[in-house]
Amino acid sequence: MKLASKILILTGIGLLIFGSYLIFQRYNPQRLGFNNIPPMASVPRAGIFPKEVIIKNLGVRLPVYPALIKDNKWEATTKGVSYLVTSPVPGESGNSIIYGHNWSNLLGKLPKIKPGEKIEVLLDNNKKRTFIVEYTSVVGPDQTHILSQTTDARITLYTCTGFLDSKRFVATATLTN
Amino acid sequence: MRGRLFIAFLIVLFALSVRLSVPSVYAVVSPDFPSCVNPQGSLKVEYNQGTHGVIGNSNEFKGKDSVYTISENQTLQCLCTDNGQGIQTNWWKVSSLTADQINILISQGWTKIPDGSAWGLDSSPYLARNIDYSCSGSGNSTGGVGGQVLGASTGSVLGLATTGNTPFILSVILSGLIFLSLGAAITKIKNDTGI
Repeated sequence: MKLASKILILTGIGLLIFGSYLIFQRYNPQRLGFNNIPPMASVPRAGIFPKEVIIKNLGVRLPVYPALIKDNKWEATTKGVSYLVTSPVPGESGNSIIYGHNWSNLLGKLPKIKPGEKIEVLLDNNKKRTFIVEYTSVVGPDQTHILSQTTDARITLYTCTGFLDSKRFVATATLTN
Repeated sequence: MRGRLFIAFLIVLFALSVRLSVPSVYAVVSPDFPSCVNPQGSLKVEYNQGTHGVIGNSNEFKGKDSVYTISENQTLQCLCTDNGQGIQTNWWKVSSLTADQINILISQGWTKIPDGSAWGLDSSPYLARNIDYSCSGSGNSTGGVGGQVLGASTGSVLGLATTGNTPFILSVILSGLIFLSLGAAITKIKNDTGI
């Protein structure tokens, strides 16, 4: 009886500490290491890749990490935004997919973006591609149509939103000339 | 007695936390519509300017209206007003549904239109649902690909990435509180009863 109560109390304390760490991780901007971007050669790649996403109006400047969908699970970094490497390089014809957590130090401010605002993507050849937001919307997590390829050059940037992160906020931006 | 009540309270808390992760089950499953941020299907009609109506809304809207045929029973209407307000209307032809099924869907927020011909659709009953989005205004918009759909390079994907961990954090903290409370309750019962 005594042992059981001790185990329960210790487990409870452990879970509360872990929960506190998750909250700390979510809200601590110091966790972003802009100078510590790992090389992206570990994933299948060819040619130019995005390096940073910049949304000046929201004060967002985040490193881009390559990501894949493996067994229907999306890789997602906690140190920046994830770029789906199977989608086109931002600026090329098609729909480039970039996504990130809705933490305040990541894409938590994204739902404040408005159509007409700029999203810049810095490539690893130091060229910058500028996109103008055309649409924003809240969709369900199963609405994968937003990932479909297009004939124009656009980026689709999204993050979680809504009650218990049950929805996705999507911003679609097209390349400026 | 108080100890038992406390344990019962904890059991209810646990049941509620489990309930959070159980999806709702509906008698009728509505079809999946694409979003106007990346419309799919074939472009049926498009008006770059003009005054348009929206189902369930008595106001008139000026702007660009694009209508896409998604399937035989699904039509997508994307209205982007001049001031950047976007209204997506999902049109679902429901001639094969029973009155009970339609009533369930109406209770879920769909609006019934007895005859779609008044809205330029087939002369059949429809259910419609509006979803707000934002757009850059019809005059500036370059978006939309006019129904030209290419194959998605993302392969077969069942859902979008999970980019939030609020439910997980809540469940960890709630579980911690439950474990802590259970431990404290057992200690208290032990002290009270001397077992």
